[in-house]
Amino acid sequence: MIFLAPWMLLGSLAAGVPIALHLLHRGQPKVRTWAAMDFLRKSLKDTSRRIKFRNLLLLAARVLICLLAALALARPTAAWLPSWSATEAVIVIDVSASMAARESGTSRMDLARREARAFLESLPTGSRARLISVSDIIENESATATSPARAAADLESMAASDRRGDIAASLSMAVDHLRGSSLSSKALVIISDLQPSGWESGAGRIRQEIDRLPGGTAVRVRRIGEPAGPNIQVLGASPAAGFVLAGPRQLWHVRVKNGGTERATDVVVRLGYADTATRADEAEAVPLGNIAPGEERVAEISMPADATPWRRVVARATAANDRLDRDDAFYRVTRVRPRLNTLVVGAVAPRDKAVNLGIYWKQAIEAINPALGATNFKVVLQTPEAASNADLETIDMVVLAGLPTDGGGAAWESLVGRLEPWARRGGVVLGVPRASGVTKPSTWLAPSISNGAAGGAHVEITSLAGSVLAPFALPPLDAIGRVAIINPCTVEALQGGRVLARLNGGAGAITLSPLGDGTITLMGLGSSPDEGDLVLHPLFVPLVQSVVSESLGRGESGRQMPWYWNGEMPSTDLVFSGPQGMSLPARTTSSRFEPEGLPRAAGFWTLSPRGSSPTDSPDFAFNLDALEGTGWAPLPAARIDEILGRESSLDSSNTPMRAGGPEALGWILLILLMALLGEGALAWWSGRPA
Amino acid sequence: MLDPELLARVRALGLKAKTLVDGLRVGELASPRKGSSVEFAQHREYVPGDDLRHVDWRAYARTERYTVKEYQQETNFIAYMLVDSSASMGYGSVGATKFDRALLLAGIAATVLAAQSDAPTLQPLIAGGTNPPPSPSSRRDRVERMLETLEAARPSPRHDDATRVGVVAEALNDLAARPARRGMVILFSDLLEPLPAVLDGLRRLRVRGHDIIVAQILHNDELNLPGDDLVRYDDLESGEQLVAQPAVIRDRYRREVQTWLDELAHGCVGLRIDRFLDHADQPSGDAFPLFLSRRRQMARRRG
Repeated sequence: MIFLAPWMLLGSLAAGVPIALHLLHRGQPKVRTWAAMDFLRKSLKDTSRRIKFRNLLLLAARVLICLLAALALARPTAAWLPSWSATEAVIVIDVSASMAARESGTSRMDLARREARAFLESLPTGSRARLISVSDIIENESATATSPARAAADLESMAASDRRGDIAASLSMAVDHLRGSSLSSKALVIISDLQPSGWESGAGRIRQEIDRLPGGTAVRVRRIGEPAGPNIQVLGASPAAGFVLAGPRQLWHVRVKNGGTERATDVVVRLGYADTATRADEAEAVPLGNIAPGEERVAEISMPADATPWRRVVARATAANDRLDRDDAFYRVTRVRPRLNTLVVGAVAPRDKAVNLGIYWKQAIEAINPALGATNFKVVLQTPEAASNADLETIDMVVLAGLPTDGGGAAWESLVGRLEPWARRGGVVLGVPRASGVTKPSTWLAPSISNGAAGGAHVEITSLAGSVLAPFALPPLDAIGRVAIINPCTVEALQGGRVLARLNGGAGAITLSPLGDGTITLMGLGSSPDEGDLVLHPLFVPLVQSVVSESLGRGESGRQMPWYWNGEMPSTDLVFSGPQGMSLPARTTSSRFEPEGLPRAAGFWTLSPRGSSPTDSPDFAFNLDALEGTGWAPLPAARIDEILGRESSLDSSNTPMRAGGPEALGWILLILLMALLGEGALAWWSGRPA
Repeated sequence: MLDPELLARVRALGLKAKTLVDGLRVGELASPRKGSSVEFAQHREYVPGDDLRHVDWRAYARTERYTVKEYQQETNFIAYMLVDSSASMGYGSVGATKFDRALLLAGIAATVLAAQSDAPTLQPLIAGGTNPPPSPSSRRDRVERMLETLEAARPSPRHDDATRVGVVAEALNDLAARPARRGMVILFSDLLEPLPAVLDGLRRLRVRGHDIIVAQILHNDELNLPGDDLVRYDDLESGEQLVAQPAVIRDRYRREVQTWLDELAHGCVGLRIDRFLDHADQPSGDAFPLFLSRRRQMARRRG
């Protein structure tokens, strides 16, 4: 027998009350003087035994009532009790990535299966059951209600996915199913490790759905897994320069975090290339020692890159006592550039006050060279006049330092005119407009470039920190948020582009727009010291590095998401193939290929014609959500009750779950009722003549 | 203590011996020994029940009112009135104990006897033996003094005499053994003591030729055992304690009481003893005078 509220068993101490009353009552009778004692003595002689027997029976009945009341409040579940009535049961099983964590050699998923099976086997005859496996999506949407035995068999096909958790995603279907059931007894069982990431984000929706449940539905939440333990996870891996250049060793940053509640010991980070989707060749390893709970570290690992255009990079972290392997790896498909030649267009001489100084930009670009001494990394500074005749085919990136908004004259206009077809073929343009009074933007460069704050007002970059640039910025650029810029330009993004940073007035300060296969990045933040102190800021180089990395990484970032690809693929029967033999049909929408459904396994996914080998196909990397598993401590019972709007729904016991619940309670209440009736009859009987 | 109105009424009732007793008889009471002549004492107004032979017809002719002649020494039989003052007689509420009722009944009887010039003697029965009864007298002051003596013998709550023999049986035996003249014995008691001993004492008195009236006084509680909750009963006599739930044993208790009453009644009938049962907790009324009146009428019919 399992007690859902075992502390209520303390109420059994109330059984001492009738005993105490019995003793007290017996010890303090009313006193009356009496004369006819002989008659009393004769009457008592024959009746005293029967009176004592009746009183003992009455006492036993009252003690039994107290014990049964405490038992009922403790909410016992007992599978051995006869069935009360057929039940419509919906079992929601959390299959988010954290459910793959090991608990003393057994995964949480196995424990969840065991609990669900025990519950299904204990359902009364005639019951129906429906299993819903949920991560942040319902993963078995086609499953329907079936017999408990059939549902128990279906449990075997359930496995933890690599997706984050969101219990709310399943409840609408569960509630709709229960509302449509004709059976009077209904039960909703949620089996989860109660990770905050899976409950808190949808707390409001969970409450709404629970409130829609039919009246009398038993809601039980079963917690799986122990709250304590380390959990080392890889949050990301990125080249230190923001891009990878073919050739010598280059530095990578691998971010790892202990998302658990105990110290992770002997942490080792490995970084390497994966030749196939299933095997990774770790090239380098760096020990990090022990990592405290909640601590985040960056491992610096250098490794060479060959000239292969696209490489699969895998970063792994291991700890001697880690319990969850799913988040120990980070997958990335990285472009390897054979060269990076940059042309910086601007004023050459520092004392030329008439034009912005391109030298600051040249030095910043040179500072982000990922491999010192590399011959395939060059930066050239030229005046607009010289650049207008430059051979653009040998250039990979053009920085327009101090692009006048009024056109800038023939040289600028000639250069800008030549850059458009070059950019559409894959060139990267980084424009730094300079407010020149009259705005005359080039429509292909930007729909609008204007003076952001005429009159030389100082401005703040308000939305840079922690927003768009933060995910790819190393180190964080938060400190730049309060830089002062004189006469900044506000810029707009082209169609399909993004605003990376805004001024405090809300206008775009940095935008990134696609143009054909190329990229247009505009920074209206000044390009020389006489326009502001940005170029003198200590974090100017990291900012330039982040912007360049983002500009060069277009296409690469798309490979972090598996649901689009702009490559040239046959529009025949295509399929996405992923780890663990998983596959998803592909469909074509506006030159993109999208999977029908969402991947469930982290790793490399490939798109290829059905039946063909995916080895040479373009790759996509799908990673675990960074939040999954980071809050290792499960939600407390009080919070679960708060989210559900019900009390004592959480079952944290370690014994197998049974469907007893209400049935056991019903039986106990029946026995309690009989005991009450018996007590009343005994009380009446004991008051009768013996 | 005595209701004057009530006493005035009972004074008019003549207590007639049902059987011949050893005493002087004047008027319709026949004595075994013929007495001397009588002397006229006074006239009084006729009341229903008076013997018509005592009506003074001459006075009626003069005054057209019925008057009755009363004579001194109409009778002089002795009435032994025994009042139980054991602790059990103390049961009842204040002023309404069984002893209080016994005093009332004894007062009524004594007044009646004195009114017809008989000589009552009142003797309290207390534990540890009885003293010789005071000299019989029909004088009103003597009667009142005897009543005062009885009042002084009011029972204490407990005598703690667990080994006592019933005081009533002891007193009856003592009276029977005394060389006293035959007369009337009126016993006022609850008789809550071993019944065989009481009946044996009554039998001894009957053998001595005494006419006996048993006025049994009980409380309604003793007949019905009221209450529902658990009660500890403390014996007024011995201090013995018994714990019982009245509701549970009530039926059985009533059967025991009824059996006892039946045995007592059967014994009295067998000894030709008149028995009067009174309830101490009921309003004091005319049941006892009525009993005496009926007894006289029955005796007259028997001749």
